[in-house]
Amino acid sequence: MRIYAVIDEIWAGKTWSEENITAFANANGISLSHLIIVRVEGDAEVSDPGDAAGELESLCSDADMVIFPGSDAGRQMAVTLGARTEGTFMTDVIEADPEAATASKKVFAGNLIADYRLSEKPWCISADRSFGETSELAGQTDIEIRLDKESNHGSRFHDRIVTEETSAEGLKNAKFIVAAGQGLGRAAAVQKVIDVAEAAGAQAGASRPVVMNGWAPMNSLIGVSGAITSADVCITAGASGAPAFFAGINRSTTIIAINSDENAPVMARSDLAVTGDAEEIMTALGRLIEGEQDE
Amino acid sequence: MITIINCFKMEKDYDKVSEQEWQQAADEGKLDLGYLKSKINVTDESGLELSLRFQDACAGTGQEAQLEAVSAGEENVTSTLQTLAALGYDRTCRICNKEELDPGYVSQILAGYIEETDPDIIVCGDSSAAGSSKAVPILMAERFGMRCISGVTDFTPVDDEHIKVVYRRDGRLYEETASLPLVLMIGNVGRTYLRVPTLKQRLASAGHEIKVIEPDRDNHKGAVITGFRIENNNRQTEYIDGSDADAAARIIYDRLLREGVIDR
Repeated sequence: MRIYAVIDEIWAGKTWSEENITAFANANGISLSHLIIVRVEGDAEVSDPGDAAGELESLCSDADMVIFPGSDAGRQMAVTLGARTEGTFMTDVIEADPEAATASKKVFAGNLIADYRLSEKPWCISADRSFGETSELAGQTDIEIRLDKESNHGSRFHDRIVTEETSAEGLKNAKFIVAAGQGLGRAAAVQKVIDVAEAAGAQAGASRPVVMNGWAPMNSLIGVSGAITSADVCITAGASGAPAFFAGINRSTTIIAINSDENAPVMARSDLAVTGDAEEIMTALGRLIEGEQDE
Repeated sequence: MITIINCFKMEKDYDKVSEQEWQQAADEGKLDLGYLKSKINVTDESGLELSLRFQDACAGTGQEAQLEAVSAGEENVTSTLQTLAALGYDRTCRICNKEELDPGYVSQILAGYIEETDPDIIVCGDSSAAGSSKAVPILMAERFGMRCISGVTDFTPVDDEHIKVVYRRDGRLYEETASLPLVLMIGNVGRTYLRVPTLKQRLASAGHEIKVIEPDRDNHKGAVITGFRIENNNRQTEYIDGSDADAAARIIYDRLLREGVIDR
């Protein structure tokens, strides 16, 4: 089968794209036949992933499957290419079997996995973002096609300011994370948890409802729409463990959950489950940590 | 005059569904959540509020923005559409639809309504909790030959042909002046809950009529669901009673020491 992988050097970055796609291919036993690198030459300005998908259309016309990284840009390229080629698209794929023409992804906020039968080719899929940390390339890459993308839509830009976000990388690489959940109930309690995290030398994170309430900055978001972390230890304070959030901490070696509801999903998915008031317990933990620092 | 169409969806709070119900859904291939209340999809709600803020911002510049809202879903959306009418949405429409896991079909029925208006801006949340495909806005952009910007966190008026767009993509924040027409795919934006109309606004919109469309079902062309499963992420959990906060904190503290993430 002709299975192409698209490495996005422009938006998600070469290293992350390669790790994500390679881990996905390895996990699914997929041998890649072509590697397409989407990159930009010199200072040419590239507007959108949709433009890159346009360039890929002719390159991928004979492909059975085209695998994109699970980045924001990768998803957009997968859907756009699928639409333009009248093939089949699917985003955030966790399992794929090209020989059987099947793929699977999480649905209903991550509570179920749906198995799909793929139809018209090319099958344009993006890997789930949780794949990563694999260095060994799956299969033999025999052709490398470099897509030198000029600014064919540059005229649309009247001005553009690009700013790198700061703490997303910090969360992804953190070895110790303290994550605040909506169960904390108020901004002051979330701030307390953030303060304890900082005192303990941990990176502070938060679930989606917490950042949507404005109780924590958007770049502290953990989960499918935020950081996918892989800490040695992750403490969750007042997070229920909804699948969309849990996907962001599932790779943690040890999970310590604090929640007033012993039946909250996060409890059975943790190594140590503490049933109690998360704010009170985190405050007490803060006193212990500060006490040790004072001695 | 800038015309904006907001697409939104009502959805259940899936976090309120028990694991037993999910298991039953996986076993039987169907999900009955009629007992749960629905709410506006979180990024759709941000989009609806951001469009109202856009309209407010236009008022100070002499520009004008006309807002429309359309929802394609199974849920009863009448009261939400009445609320949107009170808040300043000039036209509202409900498209009856049960195919929440088929983004190709959802984009098709939305586009069928939208093409009547020929809007300058189409605003959608980035995905539904049900299908999580992040595809519907992109497919509509393809259908209309419009540019699609994902991860949008704000948009403000410039002139009748341009708007300022702020968006987040793969760890970078972008701010640019973009040419219309555009499809804006709203990402996570804090503090963008939909405002509440005043009684005066509600009374003023009392005669508002909601358009209802029953689309024909086309032949399915995309991937077909063959079954559902549940992922088991449970661990060997040690449970402790945390009613004594100091005692519980001591246990956690000792565990952190053993794991080597803090020093004594």
